[in-house]
Amino acid sequence: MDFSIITPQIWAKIWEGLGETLQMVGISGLFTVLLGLPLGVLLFSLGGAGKVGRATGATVGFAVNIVRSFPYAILMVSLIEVTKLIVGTSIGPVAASVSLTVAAVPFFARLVESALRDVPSGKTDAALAMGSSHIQIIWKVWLAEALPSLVAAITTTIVTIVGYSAMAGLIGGGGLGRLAYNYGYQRFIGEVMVITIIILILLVQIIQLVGEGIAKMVDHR
Amino acid sequence: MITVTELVKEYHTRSRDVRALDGVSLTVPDGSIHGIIGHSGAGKSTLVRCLAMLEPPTSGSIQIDGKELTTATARDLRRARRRIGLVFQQANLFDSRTVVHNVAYPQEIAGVPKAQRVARARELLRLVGLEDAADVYPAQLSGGMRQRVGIARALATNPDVLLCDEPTSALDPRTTDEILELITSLRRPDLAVIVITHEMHVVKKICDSVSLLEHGRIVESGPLTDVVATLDGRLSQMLLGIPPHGDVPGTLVDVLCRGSQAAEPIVAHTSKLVGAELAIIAGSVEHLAGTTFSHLRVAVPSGADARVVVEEFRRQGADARLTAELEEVGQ
Repeated sequence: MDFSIITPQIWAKIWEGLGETLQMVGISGLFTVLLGLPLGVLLFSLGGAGKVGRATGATVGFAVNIVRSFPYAILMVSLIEVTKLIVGTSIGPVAASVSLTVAAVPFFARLVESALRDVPSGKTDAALAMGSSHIQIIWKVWLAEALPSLVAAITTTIVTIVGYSAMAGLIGGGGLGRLAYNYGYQRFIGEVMVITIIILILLVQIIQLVGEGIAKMVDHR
Repeated sequence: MITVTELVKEYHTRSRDVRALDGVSLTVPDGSIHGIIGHSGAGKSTLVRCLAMLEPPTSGSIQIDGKELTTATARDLRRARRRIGLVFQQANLFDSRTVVHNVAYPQEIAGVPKAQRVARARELLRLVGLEDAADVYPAQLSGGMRQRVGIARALATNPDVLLCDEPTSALDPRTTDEILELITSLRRPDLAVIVITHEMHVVKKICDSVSLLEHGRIVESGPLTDVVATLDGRLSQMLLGIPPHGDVPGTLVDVLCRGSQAAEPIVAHTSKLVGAELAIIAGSVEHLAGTTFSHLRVAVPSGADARVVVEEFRRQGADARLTAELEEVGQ
């Protein structure tokens, strides 16, 4: 390995790629939480509702499973037109965030659902018996009590998005995945590949450590 | 005061229909503690869930101070639930909140300003003897302390009814007694307390009146001192149970004395009067709701007439019965 062949221009590309990756992960991570959290709550609360609720829950669950059965590479290609409609272009990190979000929302929603299922039903009973409304139960009991698991779910989801973002880079999203592909695969500069891998490893480690730290901080169980 | 009339709860599953509550009627006046005792499967949990309106009863009525709960709209129901404080077997505290904010929760959802509800929560924590634990999380508390917090939380909205569902079943004997003392100390002229339990000990220790729940029905009910005063009552047999004993020659007679009578040497008297030496082979003495009850089993030697012995006990004001007859009643 001769890292001296990485010129300052290539270094600049690497930092630019890292920036794009962070942008993709940031945007889609944010939207995944914003959309996936309510979807997860919906999935969970419909499970306990009456006949109509359960039927709706099954339908929503079915839709979630459909999206989840797409391999990400196929999902992102099939969403090119939708992406153009939403952000006006299918190129760049912002555009890539659309398919990343679509892929991550159902995944995250399922994690939210299972985190809420772990909240003992006695706590919900207690809240109901004290006169809580449904909204109060969702916010003050389910989400509050499941917070440590939810933080862990967010961490897992963001790490998954980092993985997907490398693929998204290939069809115009940019980022480190694109860089590694261009330099490492097409130009045979393995050193760039190694640097990219090291950066990705560090990135995932940092996300995991920060996530675990926050989860521990909010965990009073 | 809480009045329950002909409460029925049916569950329909694919394979069968279950009538978990089969017409339960019950009145608990303010200022009293009523025990509902039953074995597992008797319908206790269903009764609690219906009384707390966690599950709608199939039919029947539940009234608190004359206000009907079963027909209330969702909004009224939320308000009505604040008039019932529910204490669970597992305290069901919120782990994400400190103790003081657990106790403040009922008022928080009712929209009481923060300073006011926290002050009320601290006052309640003082009442249950936990003012020092206000700012810790429930995970740091022992089972008995968690139950105290649960009781404080149940009282936060100043309920008219305190409904305790197996409040001591998860606790050790010493902690159980502490919690029972706490519940007794909560007796107020404007509060009706219902304690649902499978432990005789709980009924003996704190209840004024008691109901026996079996197969979804209340089969016996009344003030504690009345239900135990008759030998052939089921509750009497449960509450004043005779410890097991080996085979004894002769006919056995059960004797029940109450109050000052229990302190008199009634067996010795009777022995003298019938001219036969009666041996006490088993017995239990309990102080229930301020009255002493003694339930004795005596052996009548062969040669003496057991019926005369029974008559003699009765003449002296005790309840007496041939043990064999009682066993038939108990079947």
